[in-house]
Amino acid sequence: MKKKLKIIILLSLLLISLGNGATLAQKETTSEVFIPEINYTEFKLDNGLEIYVLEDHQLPLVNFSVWYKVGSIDERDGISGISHLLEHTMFLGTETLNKGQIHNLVKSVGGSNNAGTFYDYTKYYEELPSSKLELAMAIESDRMRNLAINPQEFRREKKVVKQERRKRVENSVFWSSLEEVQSKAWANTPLEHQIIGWMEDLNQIDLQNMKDYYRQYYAPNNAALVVSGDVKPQQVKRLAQKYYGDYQAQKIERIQFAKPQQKKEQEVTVRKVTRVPFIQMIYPIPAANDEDIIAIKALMDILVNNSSSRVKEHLKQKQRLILEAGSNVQGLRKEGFALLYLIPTSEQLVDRVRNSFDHQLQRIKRKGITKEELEIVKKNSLKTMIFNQRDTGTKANILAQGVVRFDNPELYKEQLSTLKNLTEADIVAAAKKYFKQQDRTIGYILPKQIVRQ
Amino acid sequence: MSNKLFYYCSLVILILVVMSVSAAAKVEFSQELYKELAQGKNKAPYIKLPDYKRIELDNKLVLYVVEDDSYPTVEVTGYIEGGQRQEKKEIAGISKFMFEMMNTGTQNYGQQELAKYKELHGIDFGFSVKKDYYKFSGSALSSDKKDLLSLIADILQHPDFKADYYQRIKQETKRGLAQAKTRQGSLLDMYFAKNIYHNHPYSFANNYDLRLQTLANITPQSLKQFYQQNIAPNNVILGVVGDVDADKIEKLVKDEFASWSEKEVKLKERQLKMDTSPQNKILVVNKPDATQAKIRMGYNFYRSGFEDRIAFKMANRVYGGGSFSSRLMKNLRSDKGYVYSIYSRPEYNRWGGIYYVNTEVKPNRVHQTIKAIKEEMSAIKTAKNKITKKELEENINLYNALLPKSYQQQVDILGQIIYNAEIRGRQVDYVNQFITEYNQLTASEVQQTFAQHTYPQRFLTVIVANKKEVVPQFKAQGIDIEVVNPN
Repeated sequence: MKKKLKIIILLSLLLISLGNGATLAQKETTSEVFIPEINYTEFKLDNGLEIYVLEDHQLPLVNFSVWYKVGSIDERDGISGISHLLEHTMFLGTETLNKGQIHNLVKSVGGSNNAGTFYDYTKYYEELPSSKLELAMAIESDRMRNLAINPQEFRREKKVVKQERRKRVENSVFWSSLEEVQSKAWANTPLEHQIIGWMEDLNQIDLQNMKDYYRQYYAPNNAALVVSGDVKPQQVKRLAQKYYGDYQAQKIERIQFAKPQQKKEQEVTVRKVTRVPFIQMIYPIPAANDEDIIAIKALMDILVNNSSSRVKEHLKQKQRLILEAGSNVQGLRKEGFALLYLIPTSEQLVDRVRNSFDHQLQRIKRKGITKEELEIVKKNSLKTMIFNQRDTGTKANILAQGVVRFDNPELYKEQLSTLKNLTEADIVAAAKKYFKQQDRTIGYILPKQIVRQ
Repeated sequence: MSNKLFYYCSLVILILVVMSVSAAAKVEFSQELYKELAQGKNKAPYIKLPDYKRIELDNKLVLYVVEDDSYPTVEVTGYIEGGQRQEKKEIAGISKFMFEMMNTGTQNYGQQELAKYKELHGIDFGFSVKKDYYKFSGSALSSDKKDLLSLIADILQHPDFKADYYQRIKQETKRGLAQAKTRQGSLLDMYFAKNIYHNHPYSFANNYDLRLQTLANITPQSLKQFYQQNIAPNNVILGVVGDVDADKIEKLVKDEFASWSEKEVKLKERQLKMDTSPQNKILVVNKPDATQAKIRMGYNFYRSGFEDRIAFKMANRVYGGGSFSSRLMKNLRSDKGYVYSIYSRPEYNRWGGIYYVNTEVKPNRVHQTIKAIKEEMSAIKTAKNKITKKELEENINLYNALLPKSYQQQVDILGQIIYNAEIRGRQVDYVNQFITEYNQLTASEVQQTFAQHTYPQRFLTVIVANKKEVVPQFKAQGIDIEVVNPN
């Protein structure tokens, strides 16, 4: 095996000597065979509701999902968390359906259902026998327009959401700290809070807020239906017309915001009950359809995510300064952020770890990346794409994210094309453009009892 | 145009107009509509097992291969008999450490070389430690299948426990264990495991105090010894599925593994004593910074061969295992609004299982929550609120619809075939027996099983919370509790 590695490295060197054209030519040959195509049918109702159908007849099941173009970045000051609270409230019943009946109906036919709220969308889904597609269609149509909120049930559900906040955010060192770091980075914008919102806002949101928010955003022209599984497009079209055709489009108004201007690095120090320190870094990045997003993701893999990344090789394996490192790129319908984290082995090493990280980032900016690093990024992205192709639900989600954010079901294809043509220079350019120290907000999460020098 | 043709054309247009009007007509939502749409029952599914080839090498390594050219991918699923039960107290946690060493580098590859090899070939590979066995899994594009199998062969046969990364992994383990003691979930795991399994090896993985003590005993020598005692070809079952030729995989595996010598592996028999006393012990683990109380209630349960496990599975779904529609969820979330999530679960192991309920609540609701959990159990057990035919049928209907999805990927089916046939000693198509059995259950059987095998008075309850907010609730009720302040 060691011999094979040598051969690979030699081949890589050979490719480098042949120049960029040779590398791309080879990748194109490989990629053309495997680049996946998502087959779907789309149509749109007169009221603006978009419908996408992905057929897969392997099992007699259908996944019916409604994606609303609303999430926590649409929340004005004082009602943070309302998108997620509304998601919970949507299960409490309609003018026809009683509390609990949505779950009961879906379960009675052998299905499951749930929902999720993100920064820029809210998704509801039912997975059930394909013969019961109309039931899912009826439930989602009914609650798109006829939600009934019982005040007592609303108060009870709010308690559930507040408990969810305690569970997910407050009692996690990482997430409760990120809440503070993120609020500094995105101060006075809807991105300053987590999706679940501030506790004080959850306490204050009232029934009228809920009704207003629901009426403002839950409309056919602010939603997309994505139906995957054992269905025929014509059947979906007929039912969509029947259940949604009568609904009227409405004007959707959103709050506008931009990342606050920042002239120098911002710093936050948080004391928590922890034995190991954390460093969290937030860098603003462009919207998820910007062509630089692919280069940013590649940079994150090369810098911190991969086992062979710069940070893991030097700070973890060679110098033993950190326990772990990683990143997450939050690409949204408007500008988002890249979150990077480092876990130094001790509090005394925090400054050294930050300096070493900066050094590795600077090295990329100054000296670039290797062809081998780019090769790894492309290889692993290609693998992920092909494995995703095996699951219709995953394909439906990929397509839906392009639709719900940019009305572009082909976004994944454009991004694959960008990935295919990605060069070392693109990645270095992204590093220089988006990963400047002056734009960074850095959080030091330190053990409570010790003061950092 | 003839009159006849005009007549037909007009008729068609009229029908289309009527259809389009009716299609766009407003739907009148009503209970009757929903009743009509929700009618029907799902048939019991049949899971088609793939054609597989089973080969036993001369050194007793067992290989399963399934050809599936739907996508240009290859996946590996493998088992090594043993697991946590193989560990002794003085080297608690050694399995996890050993596999981390093995997957970091080998005698042929340093840590950076191995990381690069995997990533250049798009290979993911990892181990996990279970109570009665070890598991490994890997994946790659089929163009890299040889590299994947070659890598696995190297990792399994040529570990380097003296490598320079030993010290790093030891340091990371030590810091990780210390950090675990600051997390609410990890504290819950530790105190529950310590009190339910006592000194049985099943408790070691979560006993962070013990593992911090025994870390000094995990040396290159003890790792090598543990490896030699536990990892051998005659103890490995390797499954390969994907865009492969079974004959070529057989040859490849023989080439890669044939020189690995068979050796004796002693699988430990460590009976876990089932505590049947009505202990009702309550342990509060003090975590002053917690803003919620994390609760686990459980007791010792049956071993893997428990004969009523299918009936109990269905009963448990009604009680607490069935997500939103379980009785615990209805009571504590939908009615009271105390919890975000709550579930109950049986866990069967070779030498003794557990049955437990897990949840988190606002600290001032701890006592009421515990009381409600016991009351819901008692209500079924005493037949005050029996499991109904409707509840059982809904769960059967759900399984009939969604179970096939769990077996959609060939690697999942192959994993189950190997698990059932080689690890649990069941029939290869156990999944279809399971489907037949749960479809034949009656509500009274399920009710009786739950009544027979649940013990609301036996619960060991561990609560991780700020003791100041929790202890007074029990004192007010005159209930004895034990308080622990973790160091």
